[in-house]
Amino acid sequence: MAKRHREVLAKLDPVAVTRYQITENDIRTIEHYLKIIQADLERQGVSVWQEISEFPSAYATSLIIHELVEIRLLQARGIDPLKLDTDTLQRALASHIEAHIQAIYDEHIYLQEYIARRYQHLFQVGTLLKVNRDDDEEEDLQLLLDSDVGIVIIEDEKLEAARQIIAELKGETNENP
Amino acid sequence: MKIRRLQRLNGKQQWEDHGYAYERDDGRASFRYNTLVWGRIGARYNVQLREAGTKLEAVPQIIPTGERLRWLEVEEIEGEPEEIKAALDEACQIPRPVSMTQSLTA
Repeated sequence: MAKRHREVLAKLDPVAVTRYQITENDIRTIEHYLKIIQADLERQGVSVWQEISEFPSAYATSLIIHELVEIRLLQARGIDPLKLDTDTLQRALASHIEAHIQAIYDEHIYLQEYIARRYQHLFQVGTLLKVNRDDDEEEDLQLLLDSDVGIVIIEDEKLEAARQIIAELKGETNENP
Repeated sequence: MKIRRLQRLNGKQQWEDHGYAYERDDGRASFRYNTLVWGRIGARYNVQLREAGTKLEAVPQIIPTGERLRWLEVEEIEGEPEEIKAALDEACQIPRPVSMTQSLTA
């Protein structure tokens, strides 16, 4: 195993590592998966793998959970994503969009639980997703809203508080959890 | 409606539509991307476009391209904006919302 995989695993939230049984091999798989599906972006010097390496513990953990859930759901449907090229993997994921939607949900369920544990604040998944992506197009939020994964509530009155905590988790403020 | 297509070079070495930017009512550009591929990176670019108030012409300065990604020139398409976006979403394989039950039982 490469040092970079050990380093990523070591910085993850141990609660999530236990819950999702995340191993070094999973980290390696995630890097490989992202290098396939985001090959075009990586050539431009941007990728989620780079963000996983750079973000602090809890936020990096949320990104790992997203990718891990997506990969495991594809594998559960008989797809080995690491054996596919970029075009084929993109088509496979498009055919199993529920894997991406579940990954969004798990990513934000983890953030919800972590924030409740660390800050004693409870935010709905929809609130966290809205501020986490903070994107006018709201592509992931729309996918989640129109899915049957659960009831998605956005608490308008809590958006600013959630935004501040997410910024903190990203290391954009003084505290770096 | 003014738009600008993003194309990627696929495995068959053919350029295909992969996303697009469009001009919003307030004059700035917004990026429509395949979230299955771009995910949070696409969202991040949209934040940058919003914060910089970027016009369509300047989108490549925020979302750079290279050997396998290229921006075409700005074009103007006549018609209803929502219909144009729906057609472009389909051409760019940008996923539309789907029922999980539908998807799991398909």
